[in-house]
Amino acid sequence: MASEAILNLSLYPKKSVRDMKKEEHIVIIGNSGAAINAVKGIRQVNAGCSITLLSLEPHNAYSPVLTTYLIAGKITRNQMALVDEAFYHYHRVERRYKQRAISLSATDQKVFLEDGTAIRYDKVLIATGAFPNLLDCDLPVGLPVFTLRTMEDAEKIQSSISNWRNAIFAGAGLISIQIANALRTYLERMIFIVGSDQILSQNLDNRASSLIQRRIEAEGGTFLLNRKIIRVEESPEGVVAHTDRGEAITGNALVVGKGVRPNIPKFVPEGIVEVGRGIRVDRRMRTSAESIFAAGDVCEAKDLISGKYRLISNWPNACFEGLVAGQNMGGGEAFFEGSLAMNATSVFGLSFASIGEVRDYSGEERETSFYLDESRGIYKKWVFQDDRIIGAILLGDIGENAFVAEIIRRQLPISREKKALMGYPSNAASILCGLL
Amino acid sequence: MTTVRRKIIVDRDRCTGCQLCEIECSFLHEGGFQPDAARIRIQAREGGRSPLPLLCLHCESQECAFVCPTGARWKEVETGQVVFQEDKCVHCKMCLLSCPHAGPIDLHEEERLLVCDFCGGEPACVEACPKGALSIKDLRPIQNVLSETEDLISPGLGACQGCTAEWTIRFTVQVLGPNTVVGVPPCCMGGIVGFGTNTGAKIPVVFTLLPNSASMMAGVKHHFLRQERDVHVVAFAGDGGTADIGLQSLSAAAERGDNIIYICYDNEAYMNTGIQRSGTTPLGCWTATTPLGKEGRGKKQKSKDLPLIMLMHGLPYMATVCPSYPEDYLAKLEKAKQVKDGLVYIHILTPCPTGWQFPTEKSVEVGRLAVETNYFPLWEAVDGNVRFTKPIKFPKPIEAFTRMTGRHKHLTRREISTLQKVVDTRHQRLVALSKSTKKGGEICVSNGVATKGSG
Repeated sequence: MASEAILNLSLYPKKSVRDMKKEEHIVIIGNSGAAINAVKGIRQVNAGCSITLLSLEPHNAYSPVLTTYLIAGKITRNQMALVDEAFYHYHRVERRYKQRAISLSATDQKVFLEDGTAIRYDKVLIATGAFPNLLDCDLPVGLPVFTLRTMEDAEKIQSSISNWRNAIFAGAGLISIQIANALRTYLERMIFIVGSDQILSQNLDNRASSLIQRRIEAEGGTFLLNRKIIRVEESPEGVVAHTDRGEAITGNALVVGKGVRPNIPKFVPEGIVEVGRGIRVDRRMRTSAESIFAAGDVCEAKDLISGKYRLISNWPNACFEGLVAGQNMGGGEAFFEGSLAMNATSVFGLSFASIGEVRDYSGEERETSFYLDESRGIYKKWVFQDDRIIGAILLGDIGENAFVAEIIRRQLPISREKKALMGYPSNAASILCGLL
Repeated sequence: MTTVRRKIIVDRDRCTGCQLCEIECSFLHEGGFQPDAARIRIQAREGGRSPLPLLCLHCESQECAFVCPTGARWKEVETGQVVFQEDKCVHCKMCLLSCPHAGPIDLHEEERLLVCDFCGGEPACVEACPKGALSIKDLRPIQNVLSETEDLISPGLGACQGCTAEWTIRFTVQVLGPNTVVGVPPCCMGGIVGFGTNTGAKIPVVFTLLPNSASMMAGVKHHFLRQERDVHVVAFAGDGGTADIGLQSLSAAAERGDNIIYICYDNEAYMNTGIQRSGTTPLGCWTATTPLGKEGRGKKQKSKDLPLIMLMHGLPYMATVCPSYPEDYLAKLEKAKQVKDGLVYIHILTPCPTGWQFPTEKSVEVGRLAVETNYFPLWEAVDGNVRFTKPIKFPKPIEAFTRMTGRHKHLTRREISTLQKVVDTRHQRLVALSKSTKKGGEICVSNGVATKGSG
């Protein structure tokens, strides 16, 4: 059993008499990657404290990464579990499910719940994650419009799949493309209404996205770029989406996959906790308020490459942020190296990975080199800043992603390898692996 | 389930890229000779560098276990292995992004992930590797390794408090095992492992004379060879019995290639008889025969660089050891056990609280400082090829070592800088030797410059 193996209480420091007198109480709000890894982190350094975990959802932790696999039928609901019952038992976590925290008093160090009870904390972790962006326009109630974040969302989609033939996707980010990939066997037509001039605009550059776009078009997808949905109405088939160019597109369902935004709880005390696009945290995952920590998609940590605050929501970052937060809350000292944008997946039989800064957000010109083999569907792009790699796109053949992620993470100077990469961008594995 | 914590260690310089490990691994796991479907990958490298074996290292940081969203990977506390449960894996590639060692191997066409499973304890790749690029390392703490073997020296022996030489002989005999004969000339250990007809050891001890430890133990070895018995024959002598009085017999035994393990525990003076200077006593050091006074400023001469003298004999294996680094000593003793075709020389610096004049609880610290200041660098030489086993990147000034001991307390700044120069010159000479003899060939010194040659 996984959790038994991870946790061996004999390895953890024994309770000292001083700990017994004043037992610390840690409250974790949220129950997913960051929260679970925070529990692991706390217990790595502190066996004595008590942990209370608050969650809105009625079940044990699972990963939102797996929701598209659930829709595709690759896994069952039971297999979604990130950890099992034994994990909470062994880590001595008191769970309070279906509990919403409504307010938090930083001076009294208390969290107030919806049912009127108050929980005193010594340290609190806000790991409430993110929720999906919705359409800008108003939506009439009762339409078959779906988003995907939670297990319930996935089950809603699953239960109505049987009468889907044409589906409209608002946005062509990772979520939309992955849902489309999961449903490709059911769907006859997939229409993507995309706000920007390319698909996967958060992850890829236009060369890579056009390769993927062509692959999806061959599988029955249609892309309407540079359009916005301004109105959604009911139709006999399902829904009609009106775009700002005057088109009316009908489909059985509308799936909104426009990325996520941090689920910053309303109770976060304004003025005390610094909030940018997410809750801002330092390298030890502390917010600007004392004994309040944040981790996961809800927080905004400093970017590994630029060193500036940047909102990056992905699963590996959330896990490591949670671990660091847990170790610091438990009394240890751990540092998060900085969040790094990275993603790797395969859709429509095409694998791709994008790591680091692959697009010019700051507008400054970057040195890049790329290799494109359209017949084999292979594309590799390297982005440099001075003598460091700061970003990479791999498409078709993603063997190198194992090295690249680590090289970017360590910020290794690679002046010699850079020359080789500029010359032979396709032969990256043999050039880069020596750096490890 | 085995409770041994072990790990596969990759020696990057030794890989020739023969891919036998890949073939063996794929045959064992997939039932066919498909190097692409192996759980180890030999990555070719640019610029004529040797290929790089990549596999799951079962590391302590276990990033993959922290990010796996299905709980398909976790660390076994018992065995120290990162376990991969393939039926739980959905191929989401999160571990590929977070692994710093490029361990998991992605078969993206089959949507499968291949991870080293340690072959249930006996990895096939390690056995298949003909060059020793892959090896297995015991990760258990050294006390757990040694607790399985018997301590063959009796407790309650009459060494001074804080004596590291006593620890050294205890450790040596414990690692070499009961199938060992030790020869000890008159020295500190002579009084410890036995006196007269009494012995403090549970193995045979031969009391040799000061000048002939090496030749006498060579005779003992020949006796066992004639009986066709494989016995470790160890000569355990002090610095006086090695560098001064016993040097000719040691040199002759080394030249003859007698298969004994000659261990010199160097406490840098004749401690047993009352701290008289010896050939290895360092420059400026106080001893009973190099006293301080109006004229005397300690020993006037530099010490003999005995390890280098022995290196020039072209021994199959020799090493320098400090008891402050027991893991290092253990590894070197294991190598010494393997040698069957010549003399093994091990030079151990044993800080002596009585003679060096430092508090008895500081023995380990003083030994560490000797290594960290490059006063006593730790290295080993196989067939004359020098390799540093504990390279010190940023050596401390020699003063850090000398101010710990009373025998060096009197040194002025100028005398310390002279000693520093001696230390630096000797270390530079060693570095030059380690660079000049990378692969094959013995050291041959011509015109005072060490060059690579065939002998």
